[in-house]
Order: sequence, then structure tokens, then C-alpha cells
Amino acid sequence: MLEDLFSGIVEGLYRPTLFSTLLQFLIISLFFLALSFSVIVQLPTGYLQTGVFDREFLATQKAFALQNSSPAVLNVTFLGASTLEDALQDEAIIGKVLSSKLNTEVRTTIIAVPGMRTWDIASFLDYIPNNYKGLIVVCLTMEFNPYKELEKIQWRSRFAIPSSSFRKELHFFGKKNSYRTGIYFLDHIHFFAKRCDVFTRALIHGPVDTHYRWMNPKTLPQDPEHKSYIYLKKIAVKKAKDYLNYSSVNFASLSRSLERVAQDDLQVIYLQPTRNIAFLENAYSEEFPDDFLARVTSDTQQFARENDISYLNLNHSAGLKYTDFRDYSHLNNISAKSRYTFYLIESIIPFLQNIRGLQ
Amino acid sequence: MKKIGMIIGNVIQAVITGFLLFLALLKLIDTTAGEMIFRYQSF
Repeated sequence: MLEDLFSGIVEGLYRPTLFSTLLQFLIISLFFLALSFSVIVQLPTGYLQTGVFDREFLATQKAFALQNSSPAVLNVTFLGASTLEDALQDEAIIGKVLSSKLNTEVRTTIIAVPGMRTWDIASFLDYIPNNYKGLIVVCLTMEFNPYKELEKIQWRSRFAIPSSSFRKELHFFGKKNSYRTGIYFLDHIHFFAKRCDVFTRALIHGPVDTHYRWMNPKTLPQDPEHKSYIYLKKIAVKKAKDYLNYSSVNFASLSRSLERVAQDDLQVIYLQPTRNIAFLENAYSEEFPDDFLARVTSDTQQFARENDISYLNLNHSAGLKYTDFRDYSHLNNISAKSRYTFYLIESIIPFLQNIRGLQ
Repeated sequence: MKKIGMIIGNVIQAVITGFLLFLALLKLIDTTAGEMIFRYQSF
């Protein structure tokens, strides 16, 4: 009898039947339907991430967490690109310091992903609830060509975050809105396709460690004739040219992205990204005789005034030195990171006290 | 008994091949051919 059962199992394993084929399709469909946004974001950290540098996945998860921000606690949300990632200490540390200084629970969320752009900010801001109590700090560079960048990502979304503002933003940049199925997995299929290997790894190996934070300790050479110095100077100048050509379009895009939070009267701060001023002054001196850095500052201040948001620039007050940078804008050591974080915390405390007082 | 065994075997077969087909589909999408198919369906 048992022999019959086993021979049946073996035969069933290799012989395809209509039943097994239908079941296969059912299982594939189940994967498609089961991997919904709410499931993905609630997965324990590390399961569907490619590794410690998969910030896109973490950011996707954090977007959902933002949605559940409790109005009972003070929140601080940092949104920005790589410069912010390198400039800030862990969100748990910032949260603890802020909580102890303000004598109340402060929940800190850092969504800092290299290459974050205005349309990405639009997606994340969609997840800030109407009753959000706290501060939103946006730290973004405007030195990029949006048309060129959108061309690259036109059919490859970086984050798996359903967002109507993101689609609107694409529309503003003349990108055609594509057909959507309404099935989360299918609508963000490239996000998962890029991570197809992690499904097997998650089954066999389990989660990867995502807590390790790595800092690039490279120091910028002082010699202007050095190969890396010349290379970085070229990039800085190219970025500055992009700023001159596209900053008005980019500021307008950020302004549209902030519209919804402005309607809800939420407090927003525009934080000027970290800049290696000594290097940039030298790099810009030949190409831009006028003070380019001062122009960037005044443009940003004007943007902040027009959009009724606050402006913070800690590049001078945090005492960042030439040797604290690995290039024109990214910090390279933990002591500079701690110093910058300390000054940032000190600067945002009055805003938080104000918000708490208003409640 | 053999019939029950075959059903169990078929279920195991469907789970394994279903998962492998799912991975293969994702892998295909991650290639140039897949990009052509799904090019306009990413946002």
C-alpha cells in the first residue's frame, strides 16, 4: 500500500498533468497577487534586499511606515540624496538625541538614496499623512538635467511606490503615462525583476545583514594637478552647468511636489546639501567668474521664501573642512558626520519646539 | 493509493516548477528582450 503511494508520488513528480499545469499557473498568479505593497513593506528587513546598499528597497518600506506616522508623537522626516546619507548619523541616534532634548518621543525617518530627484520626493511626500505632526527636511541638489535622467528611468522605476504625484510629475516633464494594471507586482515589475535572485536567497539563506553602514574614507587630493582632482573638477563644472540650465525647471518641480504638504500646513525645511566649498571655489573660478556658490544660495533662499518654507545651510556653521570630503560634496569620515548631525539637530530643535507648542 | 500519491507528486511538481517559472519570468524581464516587452508598463 505504501509502495503504491510512493510510486504514485514519484510518477506525479515527473509526469505533467492538466492538474499540475493549472496549479503551476495558479502558483505564479499567487506570487503576483500576494506580493502586494502591504506585504512587501511589512517583510522583515533583509529578506528581499540585494544587500546593504539596496537603499531603494529600504526607502520603499519606509514610505509605508511614513503613512502610519502617529499624530501622537513628533516626527522628523529627512528626504534627500547621497549627500544627506553621508552627512547624517543613524536615525535611531538622531531620534534618541531629539527625544531626550525635547523630553518627548521624536520619531526620526531618514530616506536618503543616492540620486534622489524631485519626482522621487513627490512620491515620498504622497505618504505623509494629513495629520502628520512634525517636520519634513528636504535636502536636494538641483544640479541635474531632468529630461536626460527621466529618459533613463522612463521604463525602470527605482522605488516600488505607487504615487499619483510621481505620475503627475512625469506628465509635467512630457513623459507618457503608461498603462497600469492595478496589480502592484506587475506595475513595479522592473523593481522585482532587478531583484529576482533574492527570492531564492531569501528561501535558502534567509535575510542579509542590512545594518552595516559603510563610509568611503577616500580623501580628496590637495594637488590641483592630481588625476582625481582634475576629474572631480570636471564633474563639478558639468553639474554647475546643469544647474544654470535646469535649476528653474527643477525648483518648479520641487515646488509642485511640496504643494500638497503646503496645503496641509506642514512645516518643511530646505536643507542645503553639504558642499566642499574650498574645492568648489577653486573649481568654479575659471569657468564662472561670478560667485556661483553665492548664486545657488540666493536662488535657494528665494525658492524657500516663495514656497513659504524654511531654509537651512550648515556648510559654514558645521565647520566642514576640505579633508572632511571625499569629493566636491560627500563627507568621508564619521567625525564630520557626527559634527554635522549635531549642528543639524541643534538647528531643527526650535522648529520642533514650535510645532509642539502649537499643538 | 497510487492516485493519491500522484496528486501529492503533482502538487510538489507544481510548487517547484511554479516557483522556477516565476523566477525565470523575472529573469527574462530583467533582460533586453523583457525590457522590450515591459517597456511601457513600468510606472
